[in-house]
Amino acid sequence: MPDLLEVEHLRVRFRTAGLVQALLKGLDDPFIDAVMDVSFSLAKGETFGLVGESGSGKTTLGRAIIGLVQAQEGSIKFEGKELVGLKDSQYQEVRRNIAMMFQDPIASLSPRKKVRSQIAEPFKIHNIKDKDPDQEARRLLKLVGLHEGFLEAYPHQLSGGQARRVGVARALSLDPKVIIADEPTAGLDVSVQGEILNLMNRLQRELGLSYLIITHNLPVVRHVSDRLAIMYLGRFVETGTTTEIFEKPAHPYTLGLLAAVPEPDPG
Amino acid sequence: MSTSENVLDVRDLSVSFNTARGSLRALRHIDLKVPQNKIVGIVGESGCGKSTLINSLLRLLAPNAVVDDNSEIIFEGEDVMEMGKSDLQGLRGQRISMIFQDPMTALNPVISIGAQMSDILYRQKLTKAQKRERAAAMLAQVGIPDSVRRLDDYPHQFSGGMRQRICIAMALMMNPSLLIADEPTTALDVTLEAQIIHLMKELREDFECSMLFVSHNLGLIAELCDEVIVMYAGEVVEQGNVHDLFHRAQHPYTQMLLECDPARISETRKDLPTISGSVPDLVDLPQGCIFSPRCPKRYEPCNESPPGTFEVGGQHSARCFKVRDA
Ligand SMILES: Nc1ncnc2c1ncn2[C@@H]1O[C@H](COP(=O)(O)OP(=O)(O)O)[C@@H](O)[C@H]1O
Ligand code: SF4
Ligand SMILES: [Mg+2]
Repeated sequence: MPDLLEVEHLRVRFRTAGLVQALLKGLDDPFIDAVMDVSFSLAKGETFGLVGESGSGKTTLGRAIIGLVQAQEGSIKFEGKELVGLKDSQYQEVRRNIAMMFQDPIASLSPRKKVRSQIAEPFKIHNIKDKDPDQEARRLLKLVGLHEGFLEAYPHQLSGGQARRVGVARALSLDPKVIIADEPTAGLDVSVQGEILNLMNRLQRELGLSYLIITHNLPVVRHVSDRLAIMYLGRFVETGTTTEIFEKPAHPYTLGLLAAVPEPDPG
Repeated sequence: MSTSENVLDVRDLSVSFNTARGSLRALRHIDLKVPQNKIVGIVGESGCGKSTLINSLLRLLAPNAVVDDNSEIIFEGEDVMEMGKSDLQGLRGQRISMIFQDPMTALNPVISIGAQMSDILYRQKLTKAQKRERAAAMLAQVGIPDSVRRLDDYPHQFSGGMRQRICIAMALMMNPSLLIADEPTTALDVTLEAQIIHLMKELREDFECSMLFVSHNLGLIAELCDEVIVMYAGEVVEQGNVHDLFHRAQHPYTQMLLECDPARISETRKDLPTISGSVPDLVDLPQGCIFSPRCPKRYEPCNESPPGTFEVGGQHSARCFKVRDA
């Protein structure tokens, strides 16, 4: 059986200068490769961690998978079906199965909408009529461990951890098989980070979800990922099981990243 | 310890905010000292009162703030609470400098770096050329290559890490007695973060400046600080030197915070420890210990009255009945 998600030799290029500008400046190549020759797969129930610093191409790769940016080369297969080259209307169906959890939950929620409509919004976007959005919002809140009172809350009334939970509920609304989580714990207090990661783990066990976790936080990814890729300047410089990478890092860039993590022990 | 050895000596500082729901008791009986040439770290989760504390030191509190009459903030022997307008101006940005999480809070996007740095020296009788020279030397010292030429560049022409270096250079231009760094590396990637921390260690040798370093990253506190203050819900719950805090933590909150840190857990496992429950409502405080609703070690005295600060030994103390009864 093929893996749920299979990415092969993916390449995403961005134009850095307009054509005229490129001619004027004599640029041979007015493009940059944000993602270059990237291959990996994600099995059902698995967590794959994508680690790299800002600008390394992690978020672009995530966005390419859900079709928000176009791939120039390579292939992305979901349940064996090729996604590269699909029209936007055809991609809608894919986005029901692959949900994205965005980086800054408070900023990604609309400030004037109550939690109730934030969670139910995907039903509107996907024009789903056979489910009662209100009932679904209640079910989803319960699933992420928030009581019903939060239905009437506005984003600014939520703590960082509560906003993350709403983000998880929203991502779960259409019963996806894969969740792409961009920096799921960035900006959270240490004690709350654990709560969110434990919640994600429980949901994975209960619902059989697969995760692609995008992060620059090595200590966090160590505890939640089965396998890892280290990304640098658009390329995977190293992939392996989490244990392999932490115990026997091979690439000098990985070594540098691991060495930079501050040791929480004054010696 | 006499005040002359401490650049900053805060005694019994309490601050509340008037809100529609009543008085929100943001800081309660804070005692803290920053000794000469030492780096003191403040650890605490969001809402514990770090910003309120810093704003109190600079007398920059919101208009709805009420500072308790007993509060004393002694900075280089002078009571900040008694300072007039011109003294306060001298305090802010000259005797006390700040570095923020986002370098752009301190940088003006439409003025060149050289001009911004020269502006800081407005009170000094130096020629324009001398000020530029000082600015270039300071940039070089914080590791900006080609510093003379880069004086004419604008903030957006520098990377995030370089911008934070520039902010550090600006903060040091006035030779402050105290540098306050509020989460200065949170927005940076780990390799840049490591470089900035390394730079701060170097600078402390060269500048003889004391520092208050606010962070929720325990690893950074362990690497950089001499002394540590742990805050929870508006109180200092534990303080001591960095070794006492990391190796012999006494307060249950400190102990749990250390246990939660994924960076301190070496085995790969899927469920992480957490501190269950949430921070209490500061408008409606529990009658006993502030941590009692979440404390797994709670026993009879904890619900009756708030614990005082008890000495563990030396400069190490904790606000917990367990220490008294040990
Ligand atoms: N101007 C204000 N009015 C009312 N409450 C405030 C005000 N500023 C801060 N607070 C409250 O004081 C407490 C401490 O906040 P703060 O000092 O910002 O914490 P930290 O910086 O540690 O996150 C919080 O409960 C916060 O909501
Ligand atoms: S005083 Fe009691 S409730 Fe408070 S931290 Fe100590 S043991 Fe826990
Ligand atoms: Mg703050």
